[in-house]
Amino acid sequence: MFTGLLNISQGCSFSSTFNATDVNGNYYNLSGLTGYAPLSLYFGQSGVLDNFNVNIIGPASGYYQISLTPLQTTNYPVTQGVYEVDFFDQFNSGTIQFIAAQGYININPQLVPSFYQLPTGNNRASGIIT
Amino acid sequence: MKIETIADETWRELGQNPTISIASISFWLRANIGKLDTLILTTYSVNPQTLEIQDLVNFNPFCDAEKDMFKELYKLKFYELQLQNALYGGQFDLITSIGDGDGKITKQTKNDLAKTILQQIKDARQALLTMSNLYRYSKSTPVNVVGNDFYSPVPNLVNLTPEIGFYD
Repeated sequence: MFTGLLNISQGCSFSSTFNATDVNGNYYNLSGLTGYAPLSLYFGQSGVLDNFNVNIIGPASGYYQISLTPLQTTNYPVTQGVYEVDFFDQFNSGTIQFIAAQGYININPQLVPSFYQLPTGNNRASGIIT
Repeated sequence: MKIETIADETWRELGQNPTISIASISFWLRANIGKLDTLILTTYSVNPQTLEIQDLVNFNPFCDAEKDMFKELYKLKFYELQLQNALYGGQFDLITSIGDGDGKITKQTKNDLAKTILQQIKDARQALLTMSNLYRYSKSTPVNVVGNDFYSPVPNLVNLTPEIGFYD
């Protein structure tokens, strides 16, 4: 299981790739599994802040990618949250097969989120924002 | 005042230390608002919707005085972490000088470093205590004035009625 600190910024995209391995370092086979990667403010929070998009790239080698879009991260609060990547077998009772990654994630501030709408009358050509 | 603003100021005042971040400070501030309340006798909390500091009991604004106190609280915590790292962080003793002819090597032990940080903690704690006492003093108002310790400078007002608080 990967345990590490991730860093993202408000309004920015994020993606990272991992190999899911067991305690002996052997790759998990992700064929037929579905990834679920919640992002929360703290352990025990009711509900989640958001979910990473999980994309299995190389099932045989346990190779997968988690990602967030700028639209998702724009309204995140600045904090150090927690994340987890779980894999489920949706066709076999839907129970969790294993936790592939878990750790803390820094959500760093940004002055102007990507999806910020300029006030009426201001535009980049006017030199207010360069 | 937004939590990330307080966190940013704190991080800069701590020399933009690479071991911490605005994000981690923000988390600590949200998680420890109760410490500030206990210290300065306020009722601030984190609004679960906005995740910002609000006083949902007395509706007092979170201003500069409260912010400065909160920053000092974090700094105290930061120094305590530095002390832990110095003692248990696996750091080697620092070599402060190496001689040649006499073959002399001077080291600063972990213990020396810990003593220095401990003094820093004591200073920070004392500064925080002084600040919190002054804050509480500035916010306090007398709730009742009774007994012989109050005399009106105007004789006609003495012994008017007990309800308005004039006694002799």
